Amino acid sequence: MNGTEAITSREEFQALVERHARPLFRLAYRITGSDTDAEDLVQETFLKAWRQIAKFDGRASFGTWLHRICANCSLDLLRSRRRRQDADSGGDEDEPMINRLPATSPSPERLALSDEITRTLEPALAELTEMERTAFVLRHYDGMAIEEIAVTLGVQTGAAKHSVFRAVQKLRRALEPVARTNV
Amino acid sequence: MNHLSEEDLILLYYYGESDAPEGASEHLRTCTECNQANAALHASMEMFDTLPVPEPRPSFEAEMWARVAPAAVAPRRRSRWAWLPAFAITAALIAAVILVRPPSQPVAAAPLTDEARQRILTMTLADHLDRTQMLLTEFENTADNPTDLEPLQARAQDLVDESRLMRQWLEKGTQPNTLAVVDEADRILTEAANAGGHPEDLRMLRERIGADSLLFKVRVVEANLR
Ligand SMILES: [Zn+2]
Repeated sequence: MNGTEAITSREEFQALVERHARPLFRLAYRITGSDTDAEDLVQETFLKAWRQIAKFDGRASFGTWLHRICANCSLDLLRSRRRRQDADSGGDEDEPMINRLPATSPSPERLALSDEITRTLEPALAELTEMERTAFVLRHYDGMAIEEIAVTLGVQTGAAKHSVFRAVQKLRRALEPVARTNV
Repeated sequence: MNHLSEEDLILLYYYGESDAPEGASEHLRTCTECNQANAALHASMEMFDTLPVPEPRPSFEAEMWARVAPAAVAPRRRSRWAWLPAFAITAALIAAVILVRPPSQPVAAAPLTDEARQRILTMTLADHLDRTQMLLTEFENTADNPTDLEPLQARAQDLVDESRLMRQWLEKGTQPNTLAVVDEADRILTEAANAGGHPEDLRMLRERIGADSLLFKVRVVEANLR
C-alpha cells in the first residue's frame, strides 16, 4: 500500500514538473539571459522543491512557491558566478552583469532571437545588478507584489522597492537613445 | 502640487495609487507635462513586454522529468506518514517486492518492473538508514538514565529485524561499501538493543557509536542513495 502511495505522489510530482517547467524556464531565462543556465536552474528548482516538499505550507499556490525557489536559485547562480569572477579578477560588487556573463557561444534558440529588440533591450538589462534584475523580472513579468519580492529574496520591503526603482531608472537611461529616435 | 518625480511615476506604474504620494493620480489627470512623462515611462517599460524568450524544444518537459526523476525516488515520508509504524511500512514493502513473488506463479496485478522494484528497495534502504542515523544520534545524546533506554532499544531491535528482512536483496544488489556500512550499523544496533541499563553500558555504547565515525558513514551512504 505504501509503495503505491509513494509512486502515486511521484506521479503527481511528474505532472507538476510537466506543468511548470516552461514557465520556470521563462523566469530563469529572464533573470540570467542564458538558456543553458535557465534549463539547469529549472532542474535545480524541481530538485529543491522535492527535497523541501514538507516545507510547502499551501499558503501560496504550488506554482508561486516554485517561482520563488527558481528566482532564488537564479539569483544565487548569478551571485556565485560573480563571486568566482571577483576572486579571479578583484572585481567590483556594483559592476553590471554585462561584464560578468559567461562567454558561451549562442545556442540555436538564442540565435533565432537576434533581432533588433533583443539587441537593444538585452544590453540594457545586463546593466542591472543581479538583485535589481531579479526584482525587476519578478515585478514586471511575474507581477509579484513588492512584499512578496522581499520575502522571496530575503530582503526588507524597502530594499526590494529600491531595487525595482533603480532597475527601472537604469533601463530608461539605457533606452534613451532608442526612445528619442522613435519619437 | 509640484510635478510628479520619476519615482512617483514608477510607483504609480508598478504599485498603483496606494504607494504613490497623495494626489498623484489627480495631478496626473490634469497636468499635460506629467502626462507626457508618464506616457514615455509606459512606452519604455512596455518595450520589455516584447522581449522574446526562447521557446524550449517540444521534448523539454519530458527531458526535464528525466533529469529530475532519479532524485525523486524517496518522498519525504517521515512527516506525512509519521502515524504509521516505520517497521510495518518497510516490512510490507519488502514483502511486496521480494517475498510475495514466486517466479512460477502467475501474477494477477501488473508485475513491478525491475526498475520500479529497484527504486522501491533503494528508497526502503535509504529510509532504513535515515532512521538508523536518527536512532544512533538519540543514543549518543541519552543521559545516563535507563528509563530513557527502553523505547530506544525497541526501535533498535526493529531496525535489526528490518535489516534481516532486507538481507536477501542487499546481498544481491547492493554496493559492497553500502553493505559494509549496513553491517557495521547492524552490529551496533544489536548491541544497543541488548545493552543493560547500567550507566557504564550506555557510556560504552556511546563511545562505540562515536568511534569509526559510523554516523558520518551512514549519512554519506544514505545521501548517495537519495
Ligand atoms: Zn505635473
